[in-house]
Amino acid sequence: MTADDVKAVARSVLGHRLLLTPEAAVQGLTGEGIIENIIDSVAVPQDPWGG
Amino acid sequence: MTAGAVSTEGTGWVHDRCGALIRNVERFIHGKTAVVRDSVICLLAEGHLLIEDVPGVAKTSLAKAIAHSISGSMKRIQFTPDLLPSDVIGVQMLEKNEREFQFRKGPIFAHIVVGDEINRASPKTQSALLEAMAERQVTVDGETYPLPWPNIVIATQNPIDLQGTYALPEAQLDRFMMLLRVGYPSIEHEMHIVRDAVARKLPEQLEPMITTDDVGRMIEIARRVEVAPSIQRYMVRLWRLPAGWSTFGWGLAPGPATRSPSRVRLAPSSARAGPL
Repeated sequence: MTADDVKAVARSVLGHRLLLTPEAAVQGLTGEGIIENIIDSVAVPQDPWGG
Repeated sequence: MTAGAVSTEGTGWVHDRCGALIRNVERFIHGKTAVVRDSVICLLAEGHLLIEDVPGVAKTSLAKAIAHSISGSMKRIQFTPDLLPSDVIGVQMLEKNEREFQFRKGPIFAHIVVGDEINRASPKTQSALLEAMAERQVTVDGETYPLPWPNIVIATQNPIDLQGTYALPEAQLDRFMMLLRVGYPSIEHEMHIVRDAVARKLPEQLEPMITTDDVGRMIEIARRVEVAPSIQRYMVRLWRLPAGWSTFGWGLAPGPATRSPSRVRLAPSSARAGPL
């Protein structure tokens, strides 16, 4: 399994598990949007078997 | 994909069956390859699937198309406000000529269960369904009845702000491994849909491509896919990030959202990715 496999499903798997505060929801944030931003911000491991 | 303990032969077979399944569903669901592919990943990861979108974008058709592409026991439950828990899980009945109560199994006792408009049911009935989904068994009057394996629920729901809906509590939403949105089709794909409608094509007419035994085998092979430690760490970092939101300074969530961070409740097992 690769980081791309994780990325491919992260939005659908994690998006609905985020509970937004009413304030965040009013700002138009969504769980899925936040997950997408997180994916962009976390560095992808270069050598999968390097640990 | 790093196959680790899984034989190339096994993954080749899974790949082949997934391809057949996706192509079959796409004979009816046009232009939604990513959604169909994610549904199949969810199936392989033995996860329940929730499809949420506005009425009329083929949520039910997608659920039915997947269900009818798999041969084996399939049941459909149309959720309504007056549906009772016993309509889902089953009921103890005194049969004619019998001295004892017999358990008559409800529609949840199937390999593939299509739950249509799940958020139209009362919280009590939703809860009965979701408990059965989580525990993969049903307990009635102290007797426990295991559900058949694999048991996958493909449910649909309308966005929560539509009239006549009871929002699923957050704690129950995460019984679903994935939440997928279908979205509107392109003009070109909508033309396909019109053609299908004129030709009276229905998802029920799809030929099964795989059996529930195949699904079970695919799930077992998918479970053996090895995940390198660095990938595990990457996954943990992804889902831990929102919890430490307030210390993580980026422009996306200013103000209130950063002070009272969004809560994440995640069992690592629920985030297993499929091997596609």
